[in-house]
Amino acid sequence: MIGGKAGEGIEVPGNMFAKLAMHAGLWLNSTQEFYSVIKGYNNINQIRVSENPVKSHNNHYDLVLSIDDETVGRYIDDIVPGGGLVYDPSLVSGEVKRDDINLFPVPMVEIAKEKVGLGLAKNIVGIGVCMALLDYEIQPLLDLIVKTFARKGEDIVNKNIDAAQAGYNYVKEHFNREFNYQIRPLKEPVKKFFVNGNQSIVFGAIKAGLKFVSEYPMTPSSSVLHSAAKHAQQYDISVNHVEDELSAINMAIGAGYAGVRSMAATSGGGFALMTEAIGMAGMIEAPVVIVEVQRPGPSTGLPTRSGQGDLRTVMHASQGEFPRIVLSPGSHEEAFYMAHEAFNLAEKYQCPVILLTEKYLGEGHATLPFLKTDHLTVDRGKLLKEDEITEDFKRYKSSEDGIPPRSIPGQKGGAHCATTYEHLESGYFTEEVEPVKKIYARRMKKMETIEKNLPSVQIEGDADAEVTIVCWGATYMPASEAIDLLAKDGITANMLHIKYMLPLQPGVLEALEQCKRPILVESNYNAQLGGVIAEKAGVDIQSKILDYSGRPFTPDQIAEEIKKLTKK
Amino acid sequence: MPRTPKDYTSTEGKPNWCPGCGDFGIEAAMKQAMAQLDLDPDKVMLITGIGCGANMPSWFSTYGLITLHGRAVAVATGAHLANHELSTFVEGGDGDGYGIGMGHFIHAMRRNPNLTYIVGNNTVYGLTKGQVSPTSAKGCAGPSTPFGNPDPPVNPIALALANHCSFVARGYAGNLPHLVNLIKEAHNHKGFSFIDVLQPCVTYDKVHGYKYYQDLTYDLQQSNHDTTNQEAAFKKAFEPPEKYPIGIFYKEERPIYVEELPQFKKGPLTRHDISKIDVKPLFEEYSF
Repeated sequence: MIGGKAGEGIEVPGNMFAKLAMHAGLWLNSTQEFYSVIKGYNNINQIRVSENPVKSHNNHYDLVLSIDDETVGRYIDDIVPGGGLVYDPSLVSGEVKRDDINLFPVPMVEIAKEKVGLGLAKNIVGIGVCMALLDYEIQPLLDLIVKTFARKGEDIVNKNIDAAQAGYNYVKEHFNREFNYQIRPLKEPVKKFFVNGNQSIVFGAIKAGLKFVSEYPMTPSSSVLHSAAKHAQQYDISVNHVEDELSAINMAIGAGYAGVRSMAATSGGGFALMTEAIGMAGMIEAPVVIVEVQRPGPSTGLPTRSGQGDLRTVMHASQGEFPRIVLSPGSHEEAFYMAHEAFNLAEKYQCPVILLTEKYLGEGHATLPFLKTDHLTVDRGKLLKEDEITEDFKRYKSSEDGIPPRSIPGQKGGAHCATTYEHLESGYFTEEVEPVKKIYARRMKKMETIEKNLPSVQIEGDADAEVTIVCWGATYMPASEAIDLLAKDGITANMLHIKYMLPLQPGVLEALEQCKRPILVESNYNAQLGGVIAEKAGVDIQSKILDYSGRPFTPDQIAEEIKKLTKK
Repeated sequence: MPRTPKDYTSTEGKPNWCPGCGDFGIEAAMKQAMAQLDLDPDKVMLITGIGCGANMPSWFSTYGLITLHGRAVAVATGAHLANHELSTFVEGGDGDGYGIGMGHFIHAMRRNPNLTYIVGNNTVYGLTKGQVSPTSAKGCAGPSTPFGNPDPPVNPIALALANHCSFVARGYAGNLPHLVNLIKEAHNHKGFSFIDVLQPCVTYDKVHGYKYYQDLTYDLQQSNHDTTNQEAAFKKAFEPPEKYPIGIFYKEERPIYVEELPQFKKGPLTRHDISKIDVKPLFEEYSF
């Protein structure tokens, strides 16, 4: 873990450490906890490294690099016995004391001033220190510094190299190697890449044929916009930083209506502004994908933290009743595949699709193996080719499955008026009783068709387990590691992770009937998934582990709570 | 056979505006302009907001989309960027464009997408029964302002001139030949072209009738106005209420949105092949 003040650069050494671990062929998971400020306040970057895929973050640290005055005080007790703490005595007031960990006082500021002429380069000194403590060769770090600072000129590159080297040497000169951790390169590492959940979503969307993105920046969804913008010219995507979320969603719907795969991304507050337009997409039956990266509310809430308080919001937002789909991925890999799927669903069912995630996944990074994409196809549903448009074409024609044929502007013979007013099969507005009932029922029929075609929910793990964790979204990550922790204490647990929130994934009732003891785990106050399950599947799950602190669950937190609940 | 307004007229239903409404003039002018421009109805998008005039697409045979109150410009921008080869008209009222949708109007002008935006400006909210609009004069009374409107009106022309609008014009719904020409010029202008159309509301506004506008409007293009002179245009924009210049206030050639970006070089986005997109280069890029 690396801790420092906002603006002092804990991101640079964090990324460097992650890249060096990847260079050694290791797997990673990294999350950042930070305050909603640009300068000052203690921020941390938690990085977990392993020879095997890392399921989650946790709050126990093997090695802490502190480059400010606060990290030591806040986190010294979270270091595991035998772990290490690197700190600069000149920055820390009071005594640094713990007998069961290794203390590595390093004058990082002084070294930085001497080598670079700038105290702020203490982070680079610190990363050199860490690599030495972990007994890893220095060359990859030096190469990385060249790459990272190349565009700032040779002088800056050389100074940073000196800083890193000085930190590295300081360890070799001042500490006997008594630290029991080491980075060992893997012999035959799997080829992998390192992204956050938002980037993974963008990559999945690009694979699905993403052509249009409009967004107004909002933490923690902004990296969707940044990532799409970065690759816009490579993949010919129109990416637009627009004036507000009203514009973002309305533009995206316009683009979807006109025939391209379009997406808007936001967090809860921006989603609230998009509400009316989501109903428009439902009414005119335009495909659009909305990514909602949750942070805790209400209102401005905790802008830089994580939560799962918006499930009911996205399920019900906008007046009236209309078909929509809400999906929520559990991991970085699932984020890629579900983003891809979201675009197929939007066009197949001609409705808004909301991909609901949270800051923990959206901004948290992980290594992924190069994902398989050969099986992914583009399904544009009932979008007609020009020669399939017949003379009696009606855009909103009745059909068994509720899905009408679709033409897009420019197609010969497909012209029609789409309107947010209630309308006839042709699209022409109406207020007459019988036609209104007919088209309303036809539209809603799509929900049945969608539900019928969703994959049934599966229980993951030991079918006879004593406990079943019922969760959604990225709670999947710490929950799956909690299951491993419980196993060590002799408690068998499995998991019911729900990925399709609306319509609720089929098979929830049947799955719960097989569970001995379901326990809900959610990052909100009201157990919103629990409410949905009670309403749709008729099972009111009594045991709940809820956390609305704005911090993601850790595996041991879930395991401890389950142990308390199951104590006989 | 040359096209006629009938080629742009839906076979389903007839306009439901009050007899004498200025919207009839705008509808007729738009269809006449489309015919004279010889546009294929299947290659035209007409996108509107909500309001009396915004019901327009119902009576057109082109692709039409009636969106939400205030959102027409945003929706149309997205639709246009998806398929920039189509002719895209945006239409709505003064409440729609200068009230609830003002933000989109301003930012669209900055962006300069190739859209033709026609605002029927009758200085009143018709569909909600006669409240004041953003262009109503200070002091004028309505059901929401029984003691007189406390606010001065917005100046749409000055607003457009101040915000990089590349084609700024005003028409009058009672002067059809003039309005037809204006819509044609606006369509042929590359970029965001804006026409504020003076339009009587015969039901809720007894002051600004046909006689009123007939007497007070005059054609800018008949009065030696230089359409490349922004300063002169500003002066003209502040002429009412004594006089209403109609015609083109200002126009400039500058690159349109799709010309600024390489993404659109391979033709409209709707025609890009999305069946075999390779994301492996992305995985490589984030590998180390």
